[in-house]
Amino acid sequence: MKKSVIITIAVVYIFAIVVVGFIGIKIKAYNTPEFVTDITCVSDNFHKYDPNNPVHKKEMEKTKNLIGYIEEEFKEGLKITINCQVTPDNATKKALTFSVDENPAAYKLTPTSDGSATIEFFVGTEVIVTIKSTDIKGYSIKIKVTAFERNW
Amino acid sequence: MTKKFSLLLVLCTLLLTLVACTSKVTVTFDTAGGSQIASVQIDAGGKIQLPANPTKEGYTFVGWFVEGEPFDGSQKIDNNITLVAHWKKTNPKTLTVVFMVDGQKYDEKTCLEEELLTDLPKNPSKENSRFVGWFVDDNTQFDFTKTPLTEDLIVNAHFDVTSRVIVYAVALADDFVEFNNNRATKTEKNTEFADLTQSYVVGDDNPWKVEPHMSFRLEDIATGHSESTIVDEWEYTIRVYHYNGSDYELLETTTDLVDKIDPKLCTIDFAEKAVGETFKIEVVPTGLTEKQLTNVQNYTMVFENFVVVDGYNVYEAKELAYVEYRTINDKDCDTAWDAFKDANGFDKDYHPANVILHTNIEITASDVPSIFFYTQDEINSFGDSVKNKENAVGSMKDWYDLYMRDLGENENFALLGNYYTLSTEHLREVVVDTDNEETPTGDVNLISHATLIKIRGAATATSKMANLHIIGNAPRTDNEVKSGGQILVKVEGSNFTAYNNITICSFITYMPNRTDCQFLIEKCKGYENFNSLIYNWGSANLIIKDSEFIGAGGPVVIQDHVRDGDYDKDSDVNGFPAKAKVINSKLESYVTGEEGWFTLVGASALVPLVKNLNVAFVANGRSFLKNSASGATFMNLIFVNKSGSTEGLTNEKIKASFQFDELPAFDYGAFDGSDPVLKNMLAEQYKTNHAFQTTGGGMGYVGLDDRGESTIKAPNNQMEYLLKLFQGDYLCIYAQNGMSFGLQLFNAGETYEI
Repeated sequence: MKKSVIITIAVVYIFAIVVVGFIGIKIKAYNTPEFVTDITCVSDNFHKYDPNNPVHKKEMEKTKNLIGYIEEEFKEGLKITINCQVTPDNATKKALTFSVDENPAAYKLTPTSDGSATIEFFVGTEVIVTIKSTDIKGYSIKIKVTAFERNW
Repeated sequence: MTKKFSLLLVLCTLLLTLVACTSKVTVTFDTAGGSQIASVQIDAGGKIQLPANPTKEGYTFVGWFVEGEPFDGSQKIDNNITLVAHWKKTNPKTLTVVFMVDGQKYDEKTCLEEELLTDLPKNPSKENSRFVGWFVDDNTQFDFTKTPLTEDLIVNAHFDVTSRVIVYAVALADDFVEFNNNRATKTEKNTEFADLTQSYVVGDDNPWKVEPHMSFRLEDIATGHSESTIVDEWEYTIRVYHYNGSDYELLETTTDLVDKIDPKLCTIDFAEKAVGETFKIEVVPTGLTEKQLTNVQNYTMVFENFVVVDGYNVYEAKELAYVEYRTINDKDCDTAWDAFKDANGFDKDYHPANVILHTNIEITASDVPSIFFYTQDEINSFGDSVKNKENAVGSMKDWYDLYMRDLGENENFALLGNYYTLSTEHLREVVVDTDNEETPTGDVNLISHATLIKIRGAATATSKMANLHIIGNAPRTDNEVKSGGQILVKVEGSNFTAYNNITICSFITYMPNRTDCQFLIEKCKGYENFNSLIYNWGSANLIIKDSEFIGAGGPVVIQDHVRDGDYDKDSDVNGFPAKAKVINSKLESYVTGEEGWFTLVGASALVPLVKNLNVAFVANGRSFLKNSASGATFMNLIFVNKSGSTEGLTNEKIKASFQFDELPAFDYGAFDGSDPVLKNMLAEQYKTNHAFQTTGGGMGYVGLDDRGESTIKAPNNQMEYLLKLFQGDYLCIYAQNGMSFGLQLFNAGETYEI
């Protein structure tokens, strides 16, 4: 390295110490992520379980994080849409994932672009939908969706 | 003529009146097997003089009854009547009536012979049914209101079914669905496990629950209407298949691979012989209708490719008590754990080699002995040093380890997660430090030493945590309380492996704690810790491989040299340097210097130092600072080498080795003296000047040139080291404050996207 370059470095180095020491450099703290702490279903046909109802209470005890249900009569082409919202409003990652136990003969789950999901039923059956936040804590709830058809 | 007719009429009337006044009624006596009594006639409307009571051998006369009502002779009799004698046995036997419901004794009553049983039990009830009555056989109902008892009796309740339970849908068990979802690719890659190929494991020491997710309907038989219902108990057919290397073979009912199958609890208890083997199961509920049976595959749950291991299956947080086994009297925690195990029905003498999660678990204060949290009395004993006593009650005690596992020679232990989540998010932090002083609100001056799991063991022992998503109680935040959060796992011995875990929000995640054994972190991801993600206290065999650690509140890795004499273990080594090797891993902290850790350890002076030194590098096109779009300035502080002992500036304090892949190690030369140039440079210059080393092979130190001005000088005036100073991806600064710290080197002007 040329001597002039080394001198330049040294001069800049010393100057910087003086400047920075007096003026400082503006810094901001890391923005701590806001994790999702709750998910609620806002679909019109959603019914939240009532812990005072003995049957509802048993449902919630039997299936962890199960918060409610949607039930409709099965008919060909039946599609049920699930809309959810997260808490807090300023959650860093508001996107949700929807997942089910895959059963292509019975139903098909399709996430939509607006953050909800639609289940198309091919037969009368029931499916548990897990809705999970996409942040690293992964808060989740479950909803029972039934397309009722007398199959016995 | 008229006179004669009138007289005749009067005579007839008188005659009729006379006849009427003299009509009779007959009273008949039915003695019901007693002595005969002849009938009597009395005038209609009159009363009868009752005869002497009849007699009947073995019986006592009760009285006369007419149509079930008592007759005592005071009543007028207008018509023929029959008086019936009622008798009671003179010495009646006591008879017993047993009431049965579905083969089980429901109630038992006694009654005197030949009397009516009036004290009947309450009508039984049965789900989905209507009680009809009590039957002596299938067709004969016993009418207790009319039939006196003549012998002991057993009667059975008959019901009419009003509704029935229908199996509506059968799906994969919820926890199996969770397993499949967790072990899947994700759009957000920091939520995706590094290894998605690990099999589901099942322990052989206790039953494994395999109940499918069931949906039932309750159907009204009369109307056909149905609605969703919950059933407490059902029965299943369970088939177990063993993988023989090429196919799954159905196991016979009696097999030496399975100890027991419970069709009602829906559990499988594998035998010891099954360890290491792979299986598949099919579970079908009973009670399917004929129509449903034609599509039985729609009602069959299948789960395959799981492996049996030697271990215990955990379904609740309290069962993690089987992680715990400390062999020394540790602050009375050992006796506290023994009492906890006794109180919860756990076997104190059982220490499974593997503890396996089968569902998400959250540990709360009630899931561990209370000794780990301060009581009111304990806080009161600290006096004025704890100002906010209300806040301190229930907080965790510093230096306490919730679970400890001591391992003997060649012993193994593993906590296997099956991709489930283990959370301690809501456990209280430490707020009272070792001086029994409470951290004042607003100050970050408490360094927690509380640990979730501590493992100690022989050099021949092995331990492991694998396939776990762990959420701690100390996120990366400005909230100073979180400096009291937990260390996740501290290992003081045994060869430890952390494999395929995702860990977030711990005070420190992994801590090899003065151990000579290997501490391997492989295919792990860690994020958002309050403090560093890894703290190496005097351990010479830390390996971080194929892993990603992003978002520490300070450096990603802290290496703490242990000065000889600080540790009481016999050794002839002069101190215990920390040594780490990083292989194919991404380590990023991206700190600004205002995070809690900097205040906590008094490292704020580090920030202006780094920024000052960066200026010289920027002039040469490199930088160890990045700006974000929002204007924040970050440095990627990867490691800090320090010494916990408080002494003056000595070379001992920066003794540590940190190596990225096969690049030259940042190594003071403490281990093998492989770089005498570095060692000599630091020996000569350290204490008076900052010095640099890069993975590009560069070295230099801040010194004075011929004119007495500060400059960066090459060791031994070998300029090739100076020229390489601005090359490479990582830089180590050996700083005069007694620390050396590693930063990532970028090209000047690069920006950072959060």
